Amino acid sequence: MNVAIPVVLMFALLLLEVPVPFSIFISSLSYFLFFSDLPILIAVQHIGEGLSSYALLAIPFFIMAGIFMNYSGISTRLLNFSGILTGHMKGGLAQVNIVLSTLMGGLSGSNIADAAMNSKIVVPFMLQRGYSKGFSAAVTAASSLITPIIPPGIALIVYGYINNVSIGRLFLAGVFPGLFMCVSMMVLVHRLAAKRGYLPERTKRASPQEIFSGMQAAAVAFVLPVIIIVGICFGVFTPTEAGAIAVVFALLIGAVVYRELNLRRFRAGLVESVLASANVLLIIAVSYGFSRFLTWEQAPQQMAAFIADTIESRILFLIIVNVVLIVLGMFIEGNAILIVISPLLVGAARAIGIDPVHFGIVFILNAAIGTLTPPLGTVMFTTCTIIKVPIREFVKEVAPFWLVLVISLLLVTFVPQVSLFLPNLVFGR
Amino acid sequence: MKRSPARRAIDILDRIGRCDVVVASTAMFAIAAITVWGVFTRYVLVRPTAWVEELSLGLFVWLTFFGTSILARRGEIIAIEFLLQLFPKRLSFVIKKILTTALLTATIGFIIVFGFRLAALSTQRFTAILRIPFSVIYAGMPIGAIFTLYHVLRCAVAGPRFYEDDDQQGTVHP
Repeated sequence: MNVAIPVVLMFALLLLEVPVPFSIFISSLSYFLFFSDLPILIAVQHIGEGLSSYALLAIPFFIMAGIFMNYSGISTRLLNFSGILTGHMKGGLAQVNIVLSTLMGGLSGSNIADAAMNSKIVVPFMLQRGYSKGFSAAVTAASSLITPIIPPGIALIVYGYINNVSIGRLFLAGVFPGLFMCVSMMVLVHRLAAKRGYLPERTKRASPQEIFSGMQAAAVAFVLPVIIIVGICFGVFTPTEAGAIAVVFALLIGAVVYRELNLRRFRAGLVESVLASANVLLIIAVSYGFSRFLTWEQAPQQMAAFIADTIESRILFLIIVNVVLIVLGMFIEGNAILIVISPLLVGAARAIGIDPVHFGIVFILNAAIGTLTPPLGTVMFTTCTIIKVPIREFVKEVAPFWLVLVISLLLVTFVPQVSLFLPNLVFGR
Repeated sequence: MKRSPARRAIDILDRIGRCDVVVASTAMFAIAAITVWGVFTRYVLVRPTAWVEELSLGLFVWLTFFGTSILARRGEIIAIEFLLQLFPKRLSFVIKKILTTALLTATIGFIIVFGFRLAALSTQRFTAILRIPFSVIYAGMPIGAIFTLYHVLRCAVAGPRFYEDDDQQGTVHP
C-alpha cells in the first residue's frame, strides 16, 4: 500500500503531461507526507545526494562530446566516409544512414540526438534522390537505436550506475549486439532497396586508396572509441574521465585540425549540451529519492523474491521481461524506465542466475525498441517531426525494421554469449 | 513609447532570468576543464589533483538546477504528450495550464524553502580537501529553483518560448 499509491500517482501525473522529473518527485514527496514519519527535508536532501556520484558526470560529458562532434565537422567527415564504404550498395544513402549511426554510436550515445542529427544531415539527400519520406524516416529512426548499445552509450552508464554493475563491462558487452544490429539492418535495406529500385550512389566499389583517404579524415571516429574502451578496461581512466577526454578531443580536432569550430559555434554547442544534460540529470536526481523509498519499503526485494518463487525458468523470466518492457517502452520515456524499473528487475535476474551485464543489454535494447512504437515513442516523434512524416506512414515503413530489431533482441536475450563474450574475454569471469 | 514601471520591472527580471545560461554553461565548461586537468596531473605531472571530484560534484548541482531553469523558460522539460491529445482542445489546455502550473509552483516552492533550510543546516559540513561548505553546494538547488519558478510562472502567463531569439536558433534538443 505504502508503495502502491505513490507509484500510481506517478503514472497518473505522467499521463497528465506533468513533466517527467516533477511527476517522479511529487510521487516520492507523497510518500514522505503520507506514508512515513521521516522528516520531509530528506526528500530535498535526496535530490542533492542523487547528484553526488562521480560516475554520473560521464553523462553530460558524452552528451557534450556528441554535440561537439557535430559542431567541429567530425560528423560530416564520418558521413563522407560512410558514403565511400557503402555507396556502391543498393539503397546507398540508406546504408550510409545506418553506418553513420553505428560510427556515431562510438562517439555520442543518445539515440534521440542521433536520430535528430541523421534526420537533418542525411535525410535531405535521401529525399533528393527519390527515397520516400516514410522510408527515410524509418531507416533513420531504426538505425539510431544502434547508438545506445554501442559504447559509450548513455543508457549503459545510467544502468551501470543505478544497479552497481561495472560500466567497463557493459561498454564491451554492447559491441557485438550493436554490430549485429548494424549488419542485419543493412541486409534488410539491401532487400527493400532492390524491390523498390533505390539505386546505388556510385557505380563501382570504392578503391582501397579511396577508403584509406576517407578513413584518414574519419580517423577520430575510430581512434576515440578505442582510446575510451581500452583506457577504461585497463584502468587508465574512469568512464567519467574518458568522457571529459572525448570532449577535449572533439574540441581540439574542431578548432585546430579542421578549423570549423569558432567561438560562436562553441557557445551554441555548450548551451545545447547544457539543455540536453539538464533534462537527463534532473530525472536522475529525483529518481534517487524515488528508488530510496522503494528500497525502504523493500519493494525490489519483494519483487525479486516473488519472481524467484513463481518463475523458475530463466527463459520464461526473460520472455516476460521482454514483453513487459516493450509495452512499457511504448508509453514511458527510456531513461525513466531504466531508472524506475531496472532496480526492481535486476535483483530478480541475479536471483535466478542471469548475469546483470547480459540483463542490462537486454533491458536497454528492449526499452530502445519501445521508442519506435506508437503511441509515445520518443525517437518516432523526433524523426517524424523533423522530417514531417505522418505517424501512420512511418509506422507502416518501420514495421520490417521493427521485426529485425525484435530478432536482434531475441538473439541478445537467448544467447548470452553475444553480449558476454567480449567482457569475459577482457576482464575474465 | 513609454513603458509602464511594471513592464520595465518585468523586463529587468527577464534579463536577470536569462543569466541562468551563463551560470549553467560556466559550470558545464568548468567541470569538463577540471576533470581533464585531473587526468593531466595524474599522468603527466604524476601529482594527482585530489580536489577534482569534490569541486565537480559541487558544480554539478548548480549545472543541473540552472539548466532546469533554461529548460523551463523554453518549455522543454521532458513531458509525455499522449493522453491530453485525446481530450477536447479546451479541456486539455486547462488541465495543462492550471494543473501543471499549480503542481510545478508548489513543488518548486517546496524545493526553494527546504533547499535553503538544507543549505542552512550544512554550513558546518565541509568537503574533504578544499573545505567547501556543503551549504554552498546545496544552495545551487534553491537558487536555481527560484529562477525556474520565475520562468514557469512567466511561461504560464506569456506562453512557452516567450523569447525565441534567445541563445541560438534552429537546433533540436532531444
